[in-house]
Amino acid sequence: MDFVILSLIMLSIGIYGLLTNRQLLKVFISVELIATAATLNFVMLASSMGVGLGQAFLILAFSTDTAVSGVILALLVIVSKKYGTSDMAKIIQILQSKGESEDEAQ
Amino acid sequence: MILEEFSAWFVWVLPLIASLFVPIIGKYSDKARNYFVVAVAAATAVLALSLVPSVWSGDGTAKIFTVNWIPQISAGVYIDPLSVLFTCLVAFFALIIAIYSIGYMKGEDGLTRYYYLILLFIGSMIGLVIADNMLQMFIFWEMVGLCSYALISFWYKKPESIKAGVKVFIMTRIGDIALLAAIGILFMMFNTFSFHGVIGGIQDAAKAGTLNTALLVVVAFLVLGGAIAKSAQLPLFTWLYSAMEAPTSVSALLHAATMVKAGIYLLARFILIFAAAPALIIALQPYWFPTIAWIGVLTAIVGATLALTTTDIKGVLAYSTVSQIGFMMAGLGASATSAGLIGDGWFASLFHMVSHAFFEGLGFLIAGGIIHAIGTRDMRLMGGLKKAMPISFALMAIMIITTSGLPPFAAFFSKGLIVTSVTDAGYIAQVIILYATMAITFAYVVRMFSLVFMGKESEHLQKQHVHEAPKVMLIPAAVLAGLCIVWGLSQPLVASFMHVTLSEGLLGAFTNIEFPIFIALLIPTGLIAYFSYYKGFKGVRNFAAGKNPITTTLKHAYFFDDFYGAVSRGINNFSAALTRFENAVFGRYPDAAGTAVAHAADPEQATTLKKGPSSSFRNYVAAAVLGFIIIVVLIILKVGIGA
Repeated sequence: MDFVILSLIMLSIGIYGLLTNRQLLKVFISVELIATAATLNFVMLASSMGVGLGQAFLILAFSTDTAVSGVILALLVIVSKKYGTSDMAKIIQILQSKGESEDEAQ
Repeated sequence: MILEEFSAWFVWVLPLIASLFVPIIGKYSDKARNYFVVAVAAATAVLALSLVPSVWSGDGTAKIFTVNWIPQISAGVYIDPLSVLFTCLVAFFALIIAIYSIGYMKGEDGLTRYYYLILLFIGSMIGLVIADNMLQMFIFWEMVGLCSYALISFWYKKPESIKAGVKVFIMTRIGDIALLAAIGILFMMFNTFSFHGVIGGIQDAAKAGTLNTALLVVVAFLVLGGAIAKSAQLPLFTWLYSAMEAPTSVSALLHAATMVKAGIYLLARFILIFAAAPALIIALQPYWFPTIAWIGVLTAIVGATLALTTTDIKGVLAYSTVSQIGFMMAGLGASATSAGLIGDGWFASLFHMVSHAFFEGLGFLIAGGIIHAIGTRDMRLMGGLKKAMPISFALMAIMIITTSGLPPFAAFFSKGLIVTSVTDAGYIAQVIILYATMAITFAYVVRMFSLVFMGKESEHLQKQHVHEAPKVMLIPAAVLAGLCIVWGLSQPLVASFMHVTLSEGLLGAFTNIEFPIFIALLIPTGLIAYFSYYKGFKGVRNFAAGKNPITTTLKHAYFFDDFYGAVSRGINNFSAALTRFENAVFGRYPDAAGTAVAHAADPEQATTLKKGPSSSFRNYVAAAVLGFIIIVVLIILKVGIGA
């Protein structure tokens, strides 16, 4: 039961992070926290039921997660290089002002 | 037998593998890539068709081929009339769209991505309908959602496409959660993901008298939630209109013919599973089936009224799809008999599903040709296209006759069967709404037809030279038009393929009471629509252009999107408030704490750090130390309790 509570706490921290942060890297960390919480919950419940399958899935989930993280981090680097910031609000502002200037050009 | 197993596997594995080769071939030659996709789609269609004979000659029960996947879970294919019907439809439509895309998408950027996603979608969609276990089905369920998102945002430089893609993705995910919960509960109950395992489990439990019908009713409602989101039903239907930002070929394949039918497949499949125990169907009768029927008829009428008011030609087709899927849902809602067996409604719904794929797909293909020719989706800028596009005009005429359900085309039989079964199920209020919807359906197709093809050319069109769509786009449309004509008449054949015995034959559609009511309704609405939009009778138009509660409601699509907008704004405001709260409370506090901890740890270093460029570094050190202390305390507590 402890682990259910732990993963609930991790989930809450992740959601809190998603709600309060606009820095892409922090958002990414929050998403990872949520994913880890889900995996932890899954593997612990599986092992408490005596199902070995949970551990197989854990490996699968972690390796997928790592691959996804790699892609996301690469995207983050590209985005922050392109726009000079990793603040979501600022990037949206830049995109919107760009769209408006394109509208004016037409 | 061996051939059948081979086809059953390769019909979905082939497109999935072939999709990986698209980028490689695309590097060398665009033409080779296009033909490669057509060839794969054709091979898929042949494989799908090769499944038909053995299912037809069989006894209607499912054949299952499995391999070991994950220990204790086997992946497999589930061959029964329902899955083969869907497989054939998807594979056939994929071929049509692969050919059509050659003409429609000519000269676009990023076509390699487009074809890759199309093949990935074909593989996943067939995988979804042919999967033997629910986990496998759920994976493909998500994959078609992903393809839908990526294809809607195909023109990623247009902000509207990106927004539409994200909206569709999020709205369909709501249903996915419900479906996942249903799968989880079923696994908990029967300790298996496979369909035949669940069917066996239900049968055994029913025999032993231990069937937990209450929990299975909950499962049924969760499944319904998944179907509602995926099939664009009330209250989650608004995504389908946004999805029209996709290229028209994608709209035809995903958002008219196949992906939106995944919800219908899901419900049809689960009704079959629930029918393993008549007691379960009887338990579902008081709430579940009527709920489906109500959702269906309300969506039907909401979709039809919205199709009547939108000025976007694809918007009309999108809302028409919403409305027609509402008909199918109504059919599924009327599919239980009092004896706990499956009635005509089940077949009627699937029959209508296929005829809808034909006529709505035809509508999209022609609309694509028109958009291709004149470069706008706004029907107010069209008009008088009859002269410039005579073939499209003729095909569209077939489409509107079929959509409105006039005899003897496809939808006449399929819709008639749905209405008959809903009447037989005793849903009187629902039938009245369905009749009203049929009348509105006729009005909106006549309106669309008049605005696009009749009347004078608009100023927008006079400025440009309008040409008929190229042959590569017209031929697929013509094939669909031919199917619109013959599909309804093939009803006895389809019924024998599905191993369903219908209570009335083909001629029954003409002799029963529904037919005169239907015709009596069509004449006045047709006349009103014709005079308003073709003859220049101003009354209805002025009413539609004016500002009154009805037009406002319709313009806002019954305020569903406003509601969702308010919800997401609420979350945004909450998040902003939380951020302010965080800054106010924790903003200054960790600074002080960090300094204190750093000082306690190493006064000399702390002073150096203080001079450093980043004061927040101290916070991280402090947080790390704090976390370490908490872990130590937790371990001590745990050991203490353990001892």
